[in-house]
Amino acid sequence: MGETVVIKGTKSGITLVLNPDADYETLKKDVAAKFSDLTAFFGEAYKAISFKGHKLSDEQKMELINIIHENCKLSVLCIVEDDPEEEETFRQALENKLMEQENSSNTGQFYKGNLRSGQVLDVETSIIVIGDIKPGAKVISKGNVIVLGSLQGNVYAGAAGNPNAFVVALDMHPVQIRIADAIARSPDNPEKNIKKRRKNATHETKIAFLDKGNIYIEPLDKNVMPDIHL
Amino acid sequence: MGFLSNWFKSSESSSDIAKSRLKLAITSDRAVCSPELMEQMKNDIIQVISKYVDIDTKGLDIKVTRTEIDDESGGTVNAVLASIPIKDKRPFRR
Amino acid sequence: MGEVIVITSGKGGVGKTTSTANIGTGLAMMGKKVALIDTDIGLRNLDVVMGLENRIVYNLVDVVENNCRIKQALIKDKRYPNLYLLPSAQTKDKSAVTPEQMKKLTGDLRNEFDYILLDCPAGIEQGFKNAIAGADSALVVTTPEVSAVRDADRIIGLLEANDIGQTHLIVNRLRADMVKEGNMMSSDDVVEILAIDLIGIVPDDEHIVISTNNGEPLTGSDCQAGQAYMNISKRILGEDVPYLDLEVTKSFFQRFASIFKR
Repeated sequence: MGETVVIKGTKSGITLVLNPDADYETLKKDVAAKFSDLTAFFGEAYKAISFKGHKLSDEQKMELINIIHENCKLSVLCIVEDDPEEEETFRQALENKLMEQENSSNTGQFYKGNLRSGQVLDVETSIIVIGDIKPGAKVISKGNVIVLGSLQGNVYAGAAGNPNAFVVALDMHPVQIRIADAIARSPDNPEKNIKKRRKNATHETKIAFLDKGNIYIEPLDKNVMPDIHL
Repeated sequence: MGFLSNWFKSSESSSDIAKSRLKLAITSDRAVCSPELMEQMKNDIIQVISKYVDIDTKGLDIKVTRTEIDDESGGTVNAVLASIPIKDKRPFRR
Repeated sequence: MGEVIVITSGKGGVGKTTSTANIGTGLAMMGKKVALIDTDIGLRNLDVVMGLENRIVYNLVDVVENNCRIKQALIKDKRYPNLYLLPSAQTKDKSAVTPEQMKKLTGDLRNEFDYILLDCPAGIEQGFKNAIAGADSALVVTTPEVSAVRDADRIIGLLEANDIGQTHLIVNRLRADMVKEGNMMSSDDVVEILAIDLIGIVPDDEHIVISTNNGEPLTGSDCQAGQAYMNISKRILGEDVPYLDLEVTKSFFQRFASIFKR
């Protein structure tokens, strides 16, 4: 038979692993004993606490924390929850908040420098990259992406689902563009592509935008202006 | 080019050199013996042999290698190969 | 139940990724359902060799972290509908995946596929341990160079220590002309040193470079390397295929050259 109460310490907190089979009264007694034994070890520290193993009501948790306070000099600052359901609720709330943000505002950031394979630039706002995005590099933005340079990598605009997001690049040769839920990839025939690129050595600024579920790439001129929604 | 090919013919071919160097490197890679253990064994061997003959410890060479068995099977076996030079010119007179 | 084969070498740059792509293509050409897994997290390459880099949405790390289902991450090949690629992540490192997760992943894929080929990263660290975790057998790729053969020997030792049942050798980038002059070890020399069974000899062939440029494996094409990879695929399926006579084709090249001389 293992111990009913096991204390695990982390950098900023402690985890109480409680035996799920033990009854609550035994647990209370054992927690009291454990912590009074460890008074010297913990000293007057401030810790966060989380409970594992045994299902506890909020009242029971408070009661256990009071027991800890009575039996040693430790101060429990907060309870950290380990509940996947609750975590999911938090995550969704956070995401909704972010959606609101990007729909209501047109804020942006700048990034200077080239992005190379394996590098990822992940931003909450629109982003203006002064430099190239090389193959294998990735830019993810909840807003728009403007590349003042060559776009040869992956870019994901409107990452939280904004279908009005767009991508502009001085030299538009991405491996993949994603806007909201749509994905477009580069053509499969690389040889012809390279030849074409050499031919069009004078780079033309292009814009990629989403229209009825499809991503279109067009030269950035007055014809596409009606398609841009800020 | 003529002198080059002559030079190569007169000596071993580079693929043969590669092969023999590899065999050596791989046998020592495969040896389970740690260098410390090897050193201990070496010292013990020297001690025992020096009881009977005067040996040259500088020229000593002991290693564990994979050697072919001298029968038709063509299999290999791990063996301790020791080459221990003796100082005395006529070692075993009594 | 599918078979899981890891393609490994120890030393980098000897042709693991090219071999994985080509053998996978060969098996698919013969009607087998094949999954290729790039286990080189942080330095992915199998996708570009297969020419599928523009299709990647999810990757290996997304699968093991349950960000997506396996089927969402598997990319169907351009030419062979029963060939799939599970690409590696470019932005994580080897520690993003554990051997246990790889075991589970390959275990799940076994039910769907006839063959699962794992492209192993160079080295003997975490990435190698991940790649071999779920493997039934191994193909060790080496070139006839001292550094590559020595590393292959180390790898074979590690595979044995990890109870990987069958281990077969692929000698890559062999140059028959240099072997003849005595300036390159022959495949027999390499087999003698490494003491494992040979499954294929792939000649040094410029078509390989062209094929990787285009992102289309060349298995089954007319060139020597294409035939060599087809033969390896057939041998994996248990066919008894004679080895290519590289000498004969050499004289073919000489004949070819003499046409131009005229």
